[in-house]
Amino acid sequence: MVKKYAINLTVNGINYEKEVEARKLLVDFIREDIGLTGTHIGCEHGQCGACTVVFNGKSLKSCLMFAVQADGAEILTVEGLAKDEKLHPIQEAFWENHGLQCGYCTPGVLMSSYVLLKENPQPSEEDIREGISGNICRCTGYVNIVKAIKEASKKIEGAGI
Amino acid sequence: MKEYKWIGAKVKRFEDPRFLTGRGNYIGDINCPNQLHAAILRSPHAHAKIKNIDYSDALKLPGVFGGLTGGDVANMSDPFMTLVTVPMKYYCMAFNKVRYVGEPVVAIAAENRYIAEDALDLIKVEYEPLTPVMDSEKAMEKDAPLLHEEAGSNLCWHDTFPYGDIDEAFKKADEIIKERFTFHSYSSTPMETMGCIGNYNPAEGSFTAWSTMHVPMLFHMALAMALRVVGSKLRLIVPDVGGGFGNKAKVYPYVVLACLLSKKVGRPVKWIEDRREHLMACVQPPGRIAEYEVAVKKDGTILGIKEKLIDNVGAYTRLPEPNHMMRPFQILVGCYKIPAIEIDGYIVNTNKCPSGANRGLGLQQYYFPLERIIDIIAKRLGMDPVDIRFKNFIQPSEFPYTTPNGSIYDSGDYPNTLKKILEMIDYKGFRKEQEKLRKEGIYRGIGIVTIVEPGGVNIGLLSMSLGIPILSGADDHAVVRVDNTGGVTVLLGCPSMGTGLLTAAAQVAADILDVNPENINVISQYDSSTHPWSTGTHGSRFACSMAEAVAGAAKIVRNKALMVASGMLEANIDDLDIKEGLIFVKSVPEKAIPLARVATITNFSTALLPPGFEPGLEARYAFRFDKANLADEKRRMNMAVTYANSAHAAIIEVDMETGEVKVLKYIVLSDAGTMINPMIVDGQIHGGVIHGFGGTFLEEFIYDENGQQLTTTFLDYLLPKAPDSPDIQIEHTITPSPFTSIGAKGIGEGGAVPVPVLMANAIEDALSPFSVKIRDSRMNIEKVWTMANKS
Repeated sequence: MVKKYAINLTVNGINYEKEVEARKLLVDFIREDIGLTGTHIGCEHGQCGACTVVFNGKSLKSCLMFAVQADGAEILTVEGLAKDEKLHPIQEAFWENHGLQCGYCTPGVLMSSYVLLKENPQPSEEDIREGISGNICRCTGYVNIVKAIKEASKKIEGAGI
Repeated sequence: MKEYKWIGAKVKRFEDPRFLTGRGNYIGDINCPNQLHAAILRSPHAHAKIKNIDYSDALKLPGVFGGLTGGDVANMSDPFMTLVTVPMKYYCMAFNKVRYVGEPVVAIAAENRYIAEDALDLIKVEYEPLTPVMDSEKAMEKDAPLLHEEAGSNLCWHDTFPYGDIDEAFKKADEIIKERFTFHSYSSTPMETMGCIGNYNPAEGSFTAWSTMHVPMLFHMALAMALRVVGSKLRLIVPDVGGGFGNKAKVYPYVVLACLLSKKVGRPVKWIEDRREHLMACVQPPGRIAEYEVAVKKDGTILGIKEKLIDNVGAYTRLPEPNHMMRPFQILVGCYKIPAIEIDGYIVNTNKCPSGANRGLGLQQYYFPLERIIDIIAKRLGMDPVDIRFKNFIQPSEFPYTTPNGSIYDSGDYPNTLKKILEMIDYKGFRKEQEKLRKEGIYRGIGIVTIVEPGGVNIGLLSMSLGIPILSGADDHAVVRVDNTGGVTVLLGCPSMGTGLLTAAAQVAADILDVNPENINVISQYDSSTHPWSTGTHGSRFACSMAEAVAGAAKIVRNKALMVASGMLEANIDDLDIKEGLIFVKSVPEKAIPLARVATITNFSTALLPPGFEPGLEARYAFRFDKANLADEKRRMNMAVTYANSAHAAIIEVDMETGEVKVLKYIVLSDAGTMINPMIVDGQIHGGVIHGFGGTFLEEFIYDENGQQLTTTFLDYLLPKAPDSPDIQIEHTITPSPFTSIGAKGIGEGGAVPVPVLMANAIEDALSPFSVKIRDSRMNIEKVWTMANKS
């Protein structure tokens, strides 16, 4: 039998204790072992950003890390953004500005935007484009994503989040 | 004409909250009980005989449950149907021979993907390498290595289509211009790769397959026939599609592979393509060679064009090929009154990945030479390219306009579109500035392109390649149902691929039925066993065709509801109206009955219904486009439903030191007719333009001379990212289609189509002091640098 390792981590505020193979990718763990399929796989070589999650406060491509390396980590995925069925201001801004089409890259883009706006609450257009440069979107041409993040910045400021 | 409340509004999309909260349901998120995962061993050779396959060691690995080879496939299934008449056996896996690097050779089913991939390392395949042929012209030479022995030639299709008096055109010409153009192969690489689940049910002898495809029913027949079952024994389910762009519109061989593997191992089998597999073996649109001969008058009037077009479709001529050749027949003359045109088309097999559709399907390949030649004619005659366009435009008074090959352009105002965009980009002002900047060593250029964008497809186009056109029609079907609580369910014949058609369908139904669109559920998961017919979501057909089917079904339901209400309220149908789900008498608004109550009567109190009234508040409607005719003896037919128009203009600057092209301004002037949801229209244009931008500057499928693929990761096959993508300014003019009830025109592809030629026009303009000639679509940084510095 393949050896498994015990890991303990927190995802969206819930603590999980699981045993995983050393080679299991974090993204596969998130999708398969805890069933959070909002985090997507687009390339498995760290180029597209569909698998981006917030990992100890920083954005991380979860296809580039093994689950065992996430032992003790605190992770936020797209499922953890909305609270009590109320969308996060970033989600609202993407909805209002048509910042998504097929929705496949969207969770990763949202998580990158989340970290960007935490670190830089009032980004310039250049900052925004740089902040999501790790995420590829093939539907929107980025135009409305940039617009949505600008709006999200205003919403967050207004709401004092 | 009734004022619409929802059609034309920027309605936020109803599908978005699911996607925004991680509740999308894509193929990767679907699992069956007892399911296995497949991994595929692929050919390392571009061309080789398979001498022996031994996967016995793989089967010994714990967690492996079985394997499938080309031999099994040939026993268990039939080759896919094609649209060419030469014999060619295209199975879902290589049989006896491999014809491109990446062709499936062995598939393994295991407990999970990790184990399945481990197992691939234990397979031994013995090959006898053969010489590959990669170039389409070399492949047509007599002594070229042969891909399909039974075909006897790598030229799998050739035909000539003369329209108008081409000899006369060349006789009358003051100038004849000859040019050769090439167009490279790039795709759209949706963020969701492809994938499928095959599940064989031995008790029924039936298959259920889940797959991410947006044209399921056009190819359902081909898949069922390959699996040797009648269509009703192949249930095809399409969940959310994570981007399609045509790449997921083809006969998808892996559905058959997964179904056969499931049949062999007796369990459901899931396979998700990884990115490397996607880039090397999913779909690579054909590279094209276009040789042009154009007859022109001194004043810039175009009299006729002869085009020799050669498409490299890779190892197999897979459905919907040869449609890169045929699809542009919808718009052969572009925006211009060209009286004579002749297409001499060649489809060639080589040792490349089989081709398939990509947003535009042939239109970008076609418009590249057509819109390039306008600028070339201008240069030759010493005129402004803008004036050549104005000179040759079809005039607004001439619509509906029948082109020499039978397309019936519905409406438009091309001169106005161009006039407006020239004002927006300040064409004259730019010319002055350009001159001044050149003296400072700054090289800026301007490009203008005007195109006609076909919406909807006369399916007769698919049969043009068979010699005798036997097919016709541009139909779409929809079902609208009001339930006993007043909720509305809509079933579409086409799946959603993320372009917002679920919202647009709800807007249309909401307006016709006068209900709140939030109470409308347009079912997002397509199921071939329950949904009405359509060929699928392709060819920019939703707004002009499927939306008409929704409107038609909703109108029948509305009339049924009014008929029942008229009895209940004792009023004439003409005196009734509906508002927000309430049917009322116009003169006495308090005399009213809710739509929900009417629905319950049609289901639970059928004795109250008028005689002959069919119970239930539901209707299925097929939009039949009466101008989707059968081709005549000269092979002329109207090949689309609507013909939108757009102009794209860009100002660019070439960095002479690096070869980088900076897009300083990008403007689109789009005439999409009535826009069902202008926000969605703009989103389609944004995404399309950046597809074209990537295709022009970054993306290309590259092979070495041995047929090895050099672009199998996103580190080699580069995509546009946010920092290097230009902002896009969009304006609209609105000329509704007179041929449909809503007047909307399809525009899903037009954003992407003009970009390569627009950039070529702009770069050539920027570098005009160096007499640079651009005849190829690819403009990567090295190439631009070379043009700028070595000319």
